[in-house]
Amino acid sequence: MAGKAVEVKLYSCDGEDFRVPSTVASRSETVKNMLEDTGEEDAVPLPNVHGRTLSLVLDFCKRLVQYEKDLQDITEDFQHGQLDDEFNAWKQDFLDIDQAVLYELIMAANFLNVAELLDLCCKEVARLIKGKSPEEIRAYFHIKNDFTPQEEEEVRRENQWAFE
Amino acid sequence: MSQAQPAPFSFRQAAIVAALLPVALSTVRGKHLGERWTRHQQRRPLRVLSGPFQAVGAASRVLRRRLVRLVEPRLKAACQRQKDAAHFAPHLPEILSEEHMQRVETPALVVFSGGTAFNSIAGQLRQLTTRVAHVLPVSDDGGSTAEIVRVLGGPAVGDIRSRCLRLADDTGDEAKAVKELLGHRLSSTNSQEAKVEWSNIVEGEHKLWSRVSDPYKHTIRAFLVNFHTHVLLHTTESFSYRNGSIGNFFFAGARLFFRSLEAAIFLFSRVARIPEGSQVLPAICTEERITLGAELLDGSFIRGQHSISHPPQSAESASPSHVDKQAPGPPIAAPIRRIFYLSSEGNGREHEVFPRINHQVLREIAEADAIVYGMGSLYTSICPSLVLPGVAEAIAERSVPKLFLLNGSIDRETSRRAAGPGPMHASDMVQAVCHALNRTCGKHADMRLDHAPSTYITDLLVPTDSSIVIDHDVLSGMGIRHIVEVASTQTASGCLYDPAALVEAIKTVAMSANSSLAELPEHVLVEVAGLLAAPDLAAARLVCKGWRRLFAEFCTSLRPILAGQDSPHWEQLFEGFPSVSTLDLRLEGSGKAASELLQLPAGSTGQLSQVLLSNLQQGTSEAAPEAFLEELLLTALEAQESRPDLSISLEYFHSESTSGSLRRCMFTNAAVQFLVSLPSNVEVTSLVVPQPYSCRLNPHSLQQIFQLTDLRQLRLVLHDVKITDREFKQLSGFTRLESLWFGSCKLVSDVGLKAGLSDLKQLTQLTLVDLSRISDAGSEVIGSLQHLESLTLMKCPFITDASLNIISQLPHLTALQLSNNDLITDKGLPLESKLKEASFRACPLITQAHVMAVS
Repeated sequence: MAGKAVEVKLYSCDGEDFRVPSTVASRSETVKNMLEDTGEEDAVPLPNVHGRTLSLVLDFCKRLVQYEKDLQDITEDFQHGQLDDEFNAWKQDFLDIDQAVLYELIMAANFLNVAELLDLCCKEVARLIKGKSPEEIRAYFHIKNDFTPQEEEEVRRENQWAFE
Repeated sequence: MSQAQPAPFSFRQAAIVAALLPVALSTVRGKHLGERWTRHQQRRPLRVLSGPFQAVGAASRVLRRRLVRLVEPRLKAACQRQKDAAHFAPHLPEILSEEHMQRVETPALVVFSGGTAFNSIAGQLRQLTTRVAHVLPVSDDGGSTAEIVRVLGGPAVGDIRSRCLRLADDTGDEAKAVKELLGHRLSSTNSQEAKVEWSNIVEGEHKLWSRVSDPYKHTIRAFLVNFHTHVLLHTTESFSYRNGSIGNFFFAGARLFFRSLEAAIFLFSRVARIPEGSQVLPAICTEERITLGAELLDGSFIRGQHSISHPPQSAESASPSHVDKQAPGPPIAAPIRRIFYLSSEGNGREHEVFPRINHQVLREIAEADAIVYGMGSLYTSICPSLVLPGVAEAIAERSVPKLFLLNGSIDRETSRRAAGPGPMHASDMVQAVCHALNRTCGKHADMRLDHAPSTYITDLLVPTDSSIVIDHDVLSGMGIRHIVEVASTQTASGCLYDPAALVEAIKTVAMSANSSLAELPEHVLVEVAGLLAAPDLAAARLVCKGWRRLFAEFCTSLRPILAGQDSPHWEQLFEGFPSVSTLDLRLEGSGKAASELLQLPAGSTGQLSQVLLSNLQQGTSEAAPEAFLEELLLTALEAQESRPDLSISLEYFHSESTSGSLRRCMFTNAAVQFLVSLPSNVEVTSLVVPQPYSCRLNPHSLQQIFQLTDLRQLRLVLHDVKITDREFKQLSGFTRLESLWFGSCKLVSDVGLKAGLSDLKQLTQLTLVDLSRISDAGSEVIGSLQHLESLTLMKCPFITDASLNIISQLPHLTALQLSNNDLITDKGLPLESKLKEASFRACPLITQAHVMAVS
C-alpha cells in the first residue's frame, strides 16, 4: 500500500495536533484500526498519550518508514548492513532519554501498539537491567525491597543455577 | 457472529477479538475477518491485549456500545474458562466504561480508618483523588451509636455516618443545610429537652429544615420516622435521646428500612452527592450487633470498643451516651495482645465470632493504586478491619505502595509496650498492624499467616514532632525503609498532621510507583525478562516480590548461560520458573561440559517441552568449531534419547568476528561437511545460511548441501560459487522443500529453472533473486507450483503479462513481489486475483492504483 500520501490528524491528551502521513500513523496498530473504522478524514483522539510522548513515537515511526523504504530501494546486498547500522545508530540517539520519558514511551508504545517501538524499549529496559545486582536494580528503578531476609535467602537458593 | 447463544471463544480467539474490537464493525461490513485472525495469531498473543482494549475505550460511544454488544458475551464466556484471560477480563467493563479515561490520572486509594481521626484529612484528600474507598469498623459502642445499638441492635453506624457527612457535597445552601441537620446533636445534659427537640425534628417543624426543599425533606424525614417508629414499637427498652445524633438516627432508620447498611449508605451517597469514585464501606456486612473485644498480654479481656480506648473515669459517669474522647481514662492494665469480635446472637451467650469481610473491600484492594492505614485508635479503629479473614491475603497480593500513617501522640491503647517499659514505639505499632493482619494471636492456628511487616507496609508517614519514638534501626530490620516526615501542628489534643502536607505526602508516595519502570504492564515486563540472560534474570527476580511472582508465572522461555559451570541446579531452576516451556541453552565455545549440562532431571521439569541448543555467543571457541559442533550434536542426541518427550533442536553458528553481530556469522565449509556426515536417523530439516554477503561456501560444500534431501527450508545466497543450470537443476532433489530462498540465479536459463523447480510441489514460499535470463518459457514452471502462498522474484526483466497472469491466479497465492521489469502492465494482474499483499518495484507500467485495487 505504499505511495499513499494522505495526511491524518492525531491529537494528544493535552490537545496538541499532529499531522502525519497515514503510512507513518499506521505503524501504530491502534491508530490503524481506528482509521479503518472512522476514515482518514476524522482526527484521531489519543486520550492516553501526552503530546511530548506522541511526538517521540511519531519520530520513531517516521524513521522506521524511512528505513523500510530505503531497504526496498537497495540494489546491492552490502547496503543492507549499512542501512541497519545507520538505523541502529539512530535508535541509540533516540533512546538517550531519562527514565521517566522511557516509561511514558513504553506506555505509549503499548497503548498505540507499535510493535517495533515496544521491542526497542523492552530491549532498552533489559539493557538497563543487565549487569546490575538486585540492589542496583532497585535503586535504579526506585523499587522497594519487600522481601524478608528469609524470603530473600530462599530466592537466592533458587538462583544458584545462575550464580555459581 | 450471531448473537443467539454465542459459542464461547477460545482464549486465543478472545485475545484476537480483543485486538480486533476496533475493526470488528468493519468486519460486519464484509471484510475478511478470517484472514485477519490468522495474521494476528502469528504475533505474540500477550501483546495484543491491553493496547487495543484501550483503543476501544477511546472510540466513540456509539461504536463502543455496538462493539460490546457484538462480542462481549463470547469474550466473557472465554474469560471464565481461561486462566490467562485473567489479564484482561477484569478490565473489560472498566476499560469500556465512560469514566475510564478520567480515571487514568488519579490514583485509587483504599483507606482503613476509624470515625474521627481521619475525618480532617478526608476533605483535603479530594484535592488529590475522589477515588477513595473508606473502610470503617462497625463495632463502635460509644456515644449516640451505643444507645441505638442497645435498643435496636444491628451494626454501629456512628463512624459511617461521620465519614459520609464529611464526604458529602457541601456546595449550595440546601446541601449545607442537610449537612447541618444530620450533623446536629440533641441536648447532652437534659433528657427531656432532647426528646422535645427530636419530636420537633421528626415532625418536620424544626428550624433546621427551613432551608431544605420539600422533596428532600420528605426523603430524609421518612427514614427518621421509620427510626422513631422502631423505637416506639420497642416494648422493653426505653430510648434515651440524650446527645443523640440526627445523622445516626437517619442511618439507623434507613438501615432498618432496607435491612442493609450498604443500601442505606448507597442512598445517602447518591442523595448527598458523594463523588462518584468515593465509597464508604463498612468492614463487615452484617445486620447483627457485634462487639469488639481485646485480649491483653496478662490474659485478661476487655469488652467493648470504648472500654478499650476511652473507659469512663469513674463508675458514676458510666452512662454510655456520654463519652469524653479527650479524657485519657485509667491506664490500661497490660499491652493489648489481640482484637477480636464478640456476638451474643444465636444462643444468647456472648462468644467469639469471625465475621466475614465485606467483599467490596477486597475488590477495592485488588484495584487500588495505594493502600493507606489511617491514623487514629490503632487497636479499635484500624485493627478491627484488618483482623478479618481475607484482608491480609488481598493486601499481600498487591505490590502497590502501602502507607501507614503514624499517630502524633500516644493514646491509652498504645501506652504500654510489650517489649519493655513505656509506651509503644513506631516499630511496635507496625508490628501490631502486621500481627492483626497475620492473625498471629488469633484463636485458630490454621488461620494464621506468616508475612513480614514489609508485605503490608512499605512506607511509614510520621508527623514531625511526634511524641512517639521512631526506632529506625528496628524498623529497617523489619523491611520498613521508607519513613517520610510530614509537617504537623501542635494542638491541645496532641500533634496532628497538617492536612495539606499529609495529602501531598500521600500523593508523592502513591504516585511515585506510577511513573516508575517497575510498574510497567506485566506483559512488557515479561517481554523484558525474555531478553535477559540467566544472571540478570536471577538478579531481577531478587528485586521484589512482584517481579519474582511475575517471572515464575509467565516466563516461558529461559536463557541460562551455562559456560564453565558444573552440572546446573535444574531442580532449583524449575522451582523458581515453573512455567518454563523452552530452555534456550547458549553454550560457549568449549564443548567439554556439553553432555553434562544436559542431564535434565527425568521428572520435575514442569512445563518444559523444548530445548534449544545453540552457540550464539560471540567471539567464542578455543576448541575447533567442528569438534564443538560434534560434541553439541551428540549431546542433543543423548538428551533426546533420555527425554523423548522433549523437542530438542540445535542451532549452530560459527563466528569469525569477535565484535560483529550475528549478521556476520560464517557458515563454514566444515560445518556443512559435518552436517552431511550425521547419522542417518538425524534429519536436517532447515538450512538457513544467515546473511548473504558473507557466505563463503565452496563448490564442494554446495554439492554436499544437495545431499541433505530432508530439507524443508533452505536459504542460500552464494557469491563465490557460480550457479549455472547444472547446479540449479540439483534443487529438484529437495522434494520435501516448503520454503526456498535462492540468490544468485544470474546464470540460470529457462531450461535450468524448469528442471530445478518442477518437482518441488510442496513449496509454499519461494524467493528467487536475479532472473536475468528467464523468460516466460521458464517462468511458467512457477505457475505449476500449486501450493505457493508467497512469491518474490527480484530482478526479472523478461517476464511478461502472460506469465504474470498465470502466476497471480495461483489458488493459494496471497503475497506477490516483483521488481525491475519494464514489460508487465496492469493487464497482467487480473482484478479477481486473491492477493493480500502485492508490490511491484521498478515496474513502471503497473500503476499503483491498480495494485491497490487488487490487493
